[in-house]
Formats: sequence, structure tokens, C-alpha cells
Amino acid sequence: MNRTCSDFQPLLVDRAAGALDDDGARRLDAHLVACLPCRTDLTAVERALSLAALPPPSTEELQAVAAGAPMAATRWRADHRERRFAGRLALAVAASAVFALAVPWILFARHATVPPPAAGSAATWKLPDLDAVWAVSSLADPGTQDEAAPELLFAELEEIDFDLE
Amino acid sequence: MADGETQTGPALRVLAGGRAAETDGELLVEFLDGDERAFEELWRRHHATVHALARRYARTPEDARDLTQRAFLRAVGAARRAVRSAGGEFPFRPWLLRIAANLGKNHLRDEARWRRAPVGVIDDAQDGATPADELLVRRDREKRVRDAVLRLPRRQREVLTLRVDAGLSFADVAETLGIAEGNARVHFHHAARRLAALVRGSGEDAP
Repeated sequence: MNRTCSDFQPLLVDRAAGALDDDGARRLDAHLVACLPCRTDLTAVERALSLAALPPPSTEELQAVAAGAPMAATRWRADHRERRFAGRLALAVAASAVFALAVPWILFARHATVPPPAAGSAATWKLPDLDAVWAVSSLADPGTQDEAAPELLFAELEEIDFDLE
Repeated sequence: MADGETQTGPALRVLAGGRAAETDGELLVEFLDGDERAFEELWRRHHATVHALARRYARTPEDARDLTQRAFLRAVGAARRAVRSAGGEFPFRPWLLRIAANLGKNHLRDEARWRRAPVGVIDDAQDGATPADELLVRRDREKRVRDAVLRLPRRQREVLTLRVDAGLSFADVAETLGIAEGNARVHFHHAARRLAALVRGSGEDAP
């Protein structure tokens, strides 16, 4: 194999693969006439591809494959229906799950947003400022009726004549 | 009656001609819309190529038929959305062959543990004209080379099988795999070289 043989390697494989154009074939043939290593190499590549190729299928096999269209179409439709059914079923299950969770939640939320008054007061009650309460209370004013009431009461008691003897 | 014949004849011819002229993408859209005949036309166009490719990976003829059918089903199912936007321009054939090659590779991996006879061996066994010892020697050589094909790097194997099994041109191989034609040729050359080295190394040059 001389230096130019490497230039013919692609042509050689193309020849073995049956993909060599006319111009390439002429150039390769001219080279092969004088190059035994390349002829041997070509034989090896052709032999390898020949061994790699599968034997042709039998007539019965070809007929069986050719007749497979209706079965394949039917199978596709069945698979497609099955997939659509599965998709819809999954959607229905998901919707049911959402419904089952949402309804109790909505009902709970409705009651939770309108709490009973007592519960509302208890929740917001804070200890009042006792001084402020005292300041506004009538007890802080001695002139009020509440403050005077004990005096009146004692006056009435004095008027009662207790005769213990 | 004469009118009926006049109307029926041309209508049938137009339908047949139109179907043959339709692109794969158009046929696919029609099948998805419920036209079973469109699928039959797609099958008629491509089943032989897909089957030839499937046989490389199949262990039995039944496996090859099943792989062929599955490749079509998978291709149609996977193309369902894409074809609606691409329409008649949808490249169904490369799509289908690529899926077939991937399915075959996966099938081979899944079935590897069974160690059943590959389809080529089964077909050879039907050859009654060759003496038994020669048949055994040839079978052994073929088995080694075909096993070597399946052990090639992925891209080399894809290019080789699309060229040798499916009989595609290098341009079609490149389109199927989404690579440049020159790149496809380079991969093929590397694959052929590896197989030739195997043949040479085992002293199988003799025809």
C-alpha cells in the first residue's frame, strides 16, 4: 500500500457499499489495477459487509408484514382509546379529590369567618386600663349619688330610736 | 346507470391518484382524523424499510413483525402533536426510521438475557442446499460479524444498519439521523473498517 492508497480508502468503502459514483469508480479502478494491497483491502471490506448483511426475508414473512396494516391501525385506535380513557379517568379522580377536599374546607371556612359573638369577644378581650375606668366611673366623684348614699343611710339610722332598755 | 358509471369512474381515479400524491404528513393527519385508508397507505410505503431495519435487532421473525408494528404505532403516537403544526411537511419517514432503530436497540437490550437465535440464523437453517459443515462455518462467521455490528458505537451502528439493512442512500441516512451526509459517510467508513478488521483478524478473507 503506497502513500496514495489512503486517498482511495473512502472510495474503496463506497465501492463495497455500492455507493460509488462513476467518476470515483474510474479513479479507483485505475488505482486497483496496480495496487494489490488495496485489492485485498477491498475484498476484506466487501466480505465484512456481506457477512454483516442479513439474508432476505422469506416470501411468507414479507406477506405477513405487508398484511399487518389493518391490525396495526386497530391496535393504534385501541391504544389511543385506552390512553384517552386513562387520561379522563385520572382527570375525574383528580376532580373528585379536589371536590372531596374543597367542600369540607368551604363549609369550615364559612363557619370560621362568622364566629359567634362570645367567642369573638373572648378572642379580642384585653385587660382594661383600671385607672381610666376609675376616672370615668361615678365612684371617683364624691358628690354623686352613689357617694352620698351611705351618709343618708346613717342619717336615717340616727333617727331611729333604739330603746334597748 | 350510464351517469352513475360516468360519475363513479373519475371519482375513483381521482381518489387513487390523490392518495398516491399525498405526502406522508397529509396521510398522517387524515389517519388521525379517522381515515384508516391513510394509515394503510403509510404502511404500504414504509413497512418494508422498517421491517428490514427491525430484523437486525429481532431474535425471531415474529419479533421483527412486532417491532415493525410497534415502530409505526410509536411514530404515529409521538407525531400526533407535531404533525398538527407541520401538516404535510412533517418528515414522517426519517421520524419513523429513527424510532424503529431506537426500538430495535431497546428490544435487543431487553431480550439479551434470553440468548435466542437471531433471525438470520433461523433463516439460514431453512437453506437445504449447503452441506451442514459449511453451513455451520458460515453461520459462525456471520454470527460473529453480526454481533460485532450490534456492538459498534451507536452512530456507526445506526448508519450501517440504515445503509445495509434499510438500503437508504447516504443522503437519506443523514436526513434520518439529522446529521450531514459527509458525516454519515465517515461513520459508515469507520464501521466498515472495524468489521473488515474483524474479518481479517479471524482469517475469514476466503470467500
